[in-house]
Amino acid sequence: MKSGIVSRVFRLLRHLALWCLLGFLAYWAWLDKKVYDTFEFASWTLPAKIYARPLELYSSASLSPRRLVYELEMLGYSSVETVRRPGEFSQNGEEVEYYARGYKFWDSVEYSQRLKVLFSGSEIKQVWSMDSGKNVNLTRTEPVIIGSINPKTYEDRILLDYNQLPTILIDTLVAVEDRRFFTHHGFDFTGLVRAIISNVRARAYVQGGSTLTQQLAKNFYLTRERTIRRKITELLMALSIELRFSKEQILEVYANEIFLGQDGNRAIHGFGLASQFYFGKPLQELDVPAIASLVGMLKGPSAFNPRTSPERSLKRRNFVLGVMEKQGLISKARREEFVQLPLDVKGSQFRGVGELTAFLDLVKIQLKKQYDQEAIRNAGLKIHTSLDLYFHNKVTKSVAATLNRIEKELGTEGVLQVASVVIDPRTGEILTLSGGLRLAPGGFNRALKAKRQVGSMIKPFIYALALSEANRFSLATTLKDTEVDWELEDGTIWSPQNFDEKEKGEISLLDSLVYSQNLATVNLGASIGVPKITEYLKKLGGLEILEEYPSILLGAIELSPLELTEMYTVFANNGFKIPLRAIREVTSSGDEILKRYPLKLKPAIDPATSSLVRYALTQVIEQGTGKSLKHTFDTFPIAGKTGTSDDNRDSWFVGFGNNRLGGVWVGRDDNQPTGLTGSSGALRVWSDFMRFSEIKPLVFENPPGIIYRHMNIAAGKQVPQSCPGADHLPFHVATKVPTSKSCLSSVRPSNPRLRKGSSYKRVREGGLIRWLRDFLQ
Amino acid sequence: MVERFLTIILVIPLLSSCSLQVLQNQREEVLSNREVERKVFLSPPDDSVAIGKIFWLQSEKDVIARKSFFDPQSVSGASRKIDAACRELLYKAIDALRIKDYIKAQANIERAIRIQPNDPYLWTQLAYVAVERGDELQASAFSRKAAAMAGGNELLTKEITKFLRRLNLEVDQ
Repeated sequence: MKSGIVSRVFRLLRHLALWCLLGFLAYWAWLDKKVYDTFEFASWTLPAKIYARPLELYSSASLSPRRLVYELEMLGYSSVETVRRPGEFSQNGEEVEYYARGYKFWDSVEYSQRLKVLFSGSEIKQVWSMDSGKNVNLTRTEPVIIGSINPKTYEDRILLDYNQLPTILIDTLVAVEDRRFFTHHGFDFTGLVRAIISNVRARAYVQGGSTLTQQLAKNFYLTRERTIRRKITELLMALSIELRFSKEQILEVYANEIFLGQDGNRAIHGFGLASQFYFGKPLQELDVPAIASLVGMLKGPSAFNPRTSPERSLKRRNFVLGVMEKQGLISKARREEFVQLPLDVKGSQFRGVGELTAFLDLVKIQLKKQYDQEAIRNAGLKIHTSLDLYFHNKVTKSVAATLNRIEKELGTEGVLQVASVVIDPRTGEILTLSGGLRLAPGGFNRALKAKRQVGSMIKPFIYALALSEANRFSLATTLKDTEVDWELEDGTIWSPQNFDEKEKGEISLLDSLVYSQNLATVNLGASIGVPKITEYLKKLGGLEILEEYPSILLGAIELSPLELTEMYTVFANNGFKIPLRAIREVTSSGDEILKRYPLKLKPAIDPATSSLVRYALTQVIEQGTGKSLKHTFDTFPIAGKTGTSDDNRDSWFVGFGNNRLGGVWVGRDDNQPTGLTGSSGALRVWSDFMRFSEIKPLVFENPPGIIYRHMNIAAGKQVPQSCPGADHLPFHVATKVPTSKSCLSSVRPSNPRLRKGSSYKRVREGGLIRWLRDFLQ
Repeated sequence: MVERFLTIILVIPLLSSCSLQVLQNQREEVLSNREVERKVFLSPPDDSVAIGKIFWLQSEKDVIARKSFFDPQSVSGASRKIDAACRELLYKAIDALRIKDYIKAQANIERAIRIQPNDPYLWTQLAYVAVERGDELQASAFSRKAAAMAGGNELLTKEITKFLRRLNLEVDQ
């Protein structure tokens, strides 16, 4: 009886054990599948990386040594005396030598090589390859990362192959974390015992008993809780990983996955990103102490963070260096040398870049039109933009400084806001964008979203419409600058005024635009017709004008700074409007092209008419509302237009030379009067930052259909070339102009400078020469 | 006296005929050079297979180089110093076009335009790539822009006009 019970209990226990074993095996099989799927199929979620434009280097490029050095520093190149390794540079006066890391662009590869760039002033004289001993016609630097769009998990990493892992890193990792890594099968009993003994001896937790494989399993799938169940799961997973994958594969995944700190809400995963994040350079360029610091962090990424806990981090690094010496990885002398060195932690790449929120906003908006959110966040896209990093930094600082100065003069503080855009007018590429002072991510980006009345900024487009009618209007056409009472549909009377509230009587079309006369513009608009002008503006700017009010003639239209800047490309670009672009191309993480944003042109105004308006806009700077620029720039001619909306609520300026076009708005977020005109506000901001832009004078090509005549504008007649003070003005060939054989006597009092003849060719005159010429005139 | 007279009678015509022959040879050489130059300059569009969409970029590299960079008339006011960089990019564009990689071809020309934006020739190249990829609207815009920039360059203007006619478009007058 008793033996029967015992045997039944045994049978039951046997069954139970069998079921437990089966359950255990099933659980392991499930874990094994999970491990296999993760390793074999899973791809990490990689954030989209956003890059500034690379610097093009070629003989005669307009570039100073300082700019090149700035770019190299932003790329994490180290300044050394003798350049020996990729990622190093040296400067010796007008010579900059650097060892390019090489970069795979989607369209071609820039190979790693030692380059010497010889400068002559602010121009490149020669680019020389030290490796091949040959002249290099054209090369470009790597692009600087300016931001990333993180996945929902807020993880980030730079993926590396096993072959890209430095041998010293692997050796150190194994020496410190898991000495028997290459011989055990996922679990190391000897290592565990050794760790326990070390911890008991030290009476502290100095060494962990987990193998690298166990750490990987824990990092991948498990929480940080310390339970027996988690330990068993970790062990089973480690065994599965070891059974299925090679040691090299395990190390590769480990190096990419391991958690190495936090940057705000972004988690830093893997040695590749950690190297960039803490030391500002690729992993392959790290020296031994830096590698020791990173390996030291594995014990506790927060506790041994070299930025936040430098002392503890330094101690830990020196401990790792000690282990390296014991394991024969470095000599005693080298260890003693290394422990004397500081941590040498650098800022991450885009910490020193300045305010980029507004520009990145624009990039994201343009991207959203093409890609869904998941692709942007997870697919590791590379977004190459047109941002000029050096110039952007200068503009950001300059805009803030000028606005502070203006506020001090006005006696206000923190009420004015600003938005600015600078582009290359020939390609439509946005070089820098500022959406306001103290703009926080997700904040109100005024460059894109602040729709404000443009005031006189609209006038050049009305004049362009007039001048396109070559039989009716020319720059010499006389307009009436007299009082206007315009009866509106509701019976009210609209009576606009000139800015100075004075009437000029009769004035040429040219002077009317140059001095921004409201009454002459309204009279001109009346003769063309408001419906026609409205239609024209809609077509030209893609504007939504719902009602046809005559106040449109004086700029009662709301546009954002970006929209207005884009409209002005027509005058800078032979009548072609160029859609503005912040992105050049989007490539996959493997550098395959996914989407290019090509240069496009939209015919807007015929080239001849555009050149007439452009001429008038150069005169705005030469003698009109923008003439204060002449004190700052010796790069003439440049063209521009000031604008002020009702009650001085908005101050505008758009100006352009051959290679730069910039638009600025200054105003208040609550749309209250600022006391500023276009000249006293936006133009000053423009003038201050454009000094850093290397703006070039306009190049005057005469498009077909343009002829120059000598004119007595006051009389509205063509006069002989020999007449003193005759204006040399462009006309449509089709425009009929009355001719006089004599000079005629009447002169135009308002613009004496103009009558001395065109000053187009006055390029890069020094201040003294300009002053003397002005004095003589 | 008679001897002198005979010498003059015989030698002068001989010398004249020799010098005339030299002059004639020189003239022929000049004309022949001009003819070669003219052919080099004009042949790619003219001699193209008559399907209407063959253009300069498909011609040989040396022709491109000569047309683009060694003709002082081909550019209005642009600096000549950086030709090597632009030429390298044009070669890349040609290579891309040969394998019908229009995206890369355009990208390379755009890069050249960023370096030398005032060169109307480069804008015409952009127009040709646009035609190849079937975008006649942009082809027209790029070539009109080139025409507006060509200024006094009659040869280039003539070629652009010809190109626009091929697209059934008129150049702005």
